[in-house]
Amino acid sequence: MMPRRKAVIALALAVLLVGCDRRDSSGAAESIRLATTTSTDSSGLLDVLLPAFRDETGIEVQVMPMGTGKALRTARDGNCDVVLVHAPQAEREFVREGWGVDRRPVMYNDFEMALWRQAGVAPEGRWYRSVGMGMGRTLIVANEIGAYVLADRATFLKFRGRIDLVVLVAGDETLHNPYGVIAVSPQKWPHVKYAQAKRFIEFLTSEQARRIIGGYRIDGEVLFHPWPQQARPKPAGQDAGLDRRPQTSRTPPLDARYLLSCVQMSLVCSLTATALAVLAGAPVGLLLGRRRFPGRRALLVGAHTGMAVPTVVIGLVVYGLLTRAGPLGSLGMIYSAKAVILGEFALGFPIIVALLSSAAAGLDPKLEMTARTLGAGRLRLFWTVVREAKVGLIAATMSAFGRLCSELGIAMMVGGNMEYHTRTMTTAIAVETAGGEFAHALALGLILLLIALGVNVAAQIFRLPRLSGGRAEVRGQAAATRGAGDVL
Amino acid sequence: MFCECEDILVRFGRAVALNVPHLAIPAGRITAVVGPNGAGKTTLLEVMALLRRPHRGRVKLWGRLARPGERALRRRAVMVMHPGYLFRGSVWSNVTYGLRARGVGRREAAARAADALREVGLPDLAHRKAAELSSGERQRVNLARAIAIAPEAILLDEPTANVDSRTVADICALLRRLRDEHGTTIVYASPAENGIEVITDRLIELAGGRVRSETSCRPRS
Repeated sequence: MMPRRKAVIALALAVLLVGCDRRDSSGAAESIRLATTTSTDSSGLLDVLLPAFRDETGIEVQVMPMGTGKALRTARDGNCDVVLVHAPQAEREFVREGWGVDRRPVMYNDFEMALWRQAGVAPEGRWYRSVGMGMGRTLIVANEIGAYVLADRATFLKFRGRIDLVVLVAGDETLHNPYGVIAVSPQKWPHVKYAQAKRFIEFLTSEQARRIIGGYRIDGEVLFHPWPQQARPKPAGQDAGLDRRPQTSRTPPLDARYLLSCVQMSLVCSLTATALAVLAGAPVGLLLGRRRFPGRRALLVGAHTGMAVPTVVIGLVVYGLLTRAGPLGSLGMIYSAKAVILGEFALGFPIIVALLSSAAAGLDPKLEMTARTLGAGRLRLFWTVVREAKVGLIAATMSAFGRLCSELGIAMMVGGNMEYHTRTMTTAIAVETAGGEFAHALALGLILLLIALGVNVAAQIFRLPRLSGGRAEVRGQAAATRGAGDVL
Repeated sequence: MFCECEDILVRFGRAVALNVPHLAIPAGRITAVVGPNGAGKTTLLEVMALLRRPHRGRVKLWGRLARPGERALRRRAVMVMHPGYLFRGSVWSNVTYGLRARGVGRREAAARAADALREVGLPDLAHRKAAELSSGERQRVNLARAIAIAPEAILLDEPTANVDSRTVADICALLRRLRDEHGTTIVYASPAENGIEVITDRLIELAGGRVRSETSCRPRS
């Protein structure tokens, strides 16, 4: 029975890994990382621009959508090759400090946070809500709470079918909102792919790209204007089409390839991290559960507290370690599956330690003495304890796996949420939610749930022997005897 | 001599569990350690089986001084605990445990395990799950697990608790055979009434962690 089960597991893992390999090799030979604002990404423009760039140069662009500030920070830390943002002041500063080179204006639309400064009003107080989310989500929040909102045209056009907000002001000169592209300086970060980044910049400012940008429309409306053209965006007066649903949707279609890549990333990361957490955590958990030594209680408290650390905090710490500017930056691991695995390991380790130590502490205190009087050496003693704690070990492993494959903060922070690269089920759900595609998000959540169900059913098949009264009786008797004191 | 204890002190917290200035247990004999609950019987057995390091004092087995963590010497004696702990899995895997720990091959281990189970009167139990046994069966499997190893000394904690009088007679016969045919040293701990006094060569009475008396019951036949 056992050999066949093992073969099935091995086969499943092999399929997973082979699949993983294929994904990695199917990508273009060359790739660069682009940190950009959520507005460019969610407008869908990049979905048209990037394939054209790949067709021309063979270079694949991995998109990391984030806020402007974070995008520049990412570039400053050397964690991407090129940035596309809209913050002229910050961009100029970024270049002046030497972090970026070849800054070129690409396009503009009409939105600018610097408005507040010009208006002489401080955006703070009870009347002001700063929503720490992408523009799409911000529109949805404003719609929900009935607020005025400053948004960019591109995102608004995409979302207007779903919200009841109407445009009050648009097209004003002060709302002019230029986007610039900047390559990360190879002087600062020798590892960046400067040559490819430069080609990307040349492409974005080429006549071909300008045509694509100027021709990109949602519901027949222009979203972005390529830079050298002097025409200002048309005032959003012609609102005839505003109540029609947008035809173009940025959130990727839930096709098989996309789904498979997310599922695969989730499984590869959470299974690997769980395995590592078990390998490292099981000996520690058993030690804490079965031995008494100074500092044991402190370690137990630490492990139990570790279970309560928010994933975003773990993500931040791992980010701090792995970022190009961080102590382990030279490993080049940030925004990769490895980084996610490392973060998830940090999440899973205390779970294994805490749960296994509790389970092990409940085993008969005579266990080790029995093994030793029968002649077991250290290694056999260890494996005997592992075997006896099997039920607890499996329970701890399943808990850890459940937590890891459902966590979001780490995958987002250190994975970068790049489509077909580091997008997991949970970050995909976040993207769908941010894009207002709640039905998609729920569907993905359901798939994730089904995967968890499958893994748990598989574990249950291996696992627990029938319940029996005998063992419980022995445990009861053992509890009556004195605890493990000063054992050799 | 099987075991010589010198100046042994074992504490549980502040309480003194065992305080034995000198004690010698003969080899090849059956020695009983008797006394009320809390007298230190189990602790004494654990010290002699090298499973518990005393806070003070020295233990010699067969004339050799036991050092901490010494496995070779520990492997020559086996303690059968009470209540015994059976590992998860089958009776067979339990009874072969000590043999596999000694690197005995699968086939030989199986044969010796079968012999040991026959000795304790459970020849058909090998493939049952340990968790499914009755308490009397568990106790005998515990005994079989120890004698399968064929140790030079067996230390038994309350071997006749929870068993009926017929089983007591069986155990007596088995222990006597081990002593007479194999020269095995046997030490057992028991509250006063136990049913195997008849085969006991020497009686050590403990109370409050101290040796109260040592008696030779009868000359060895």
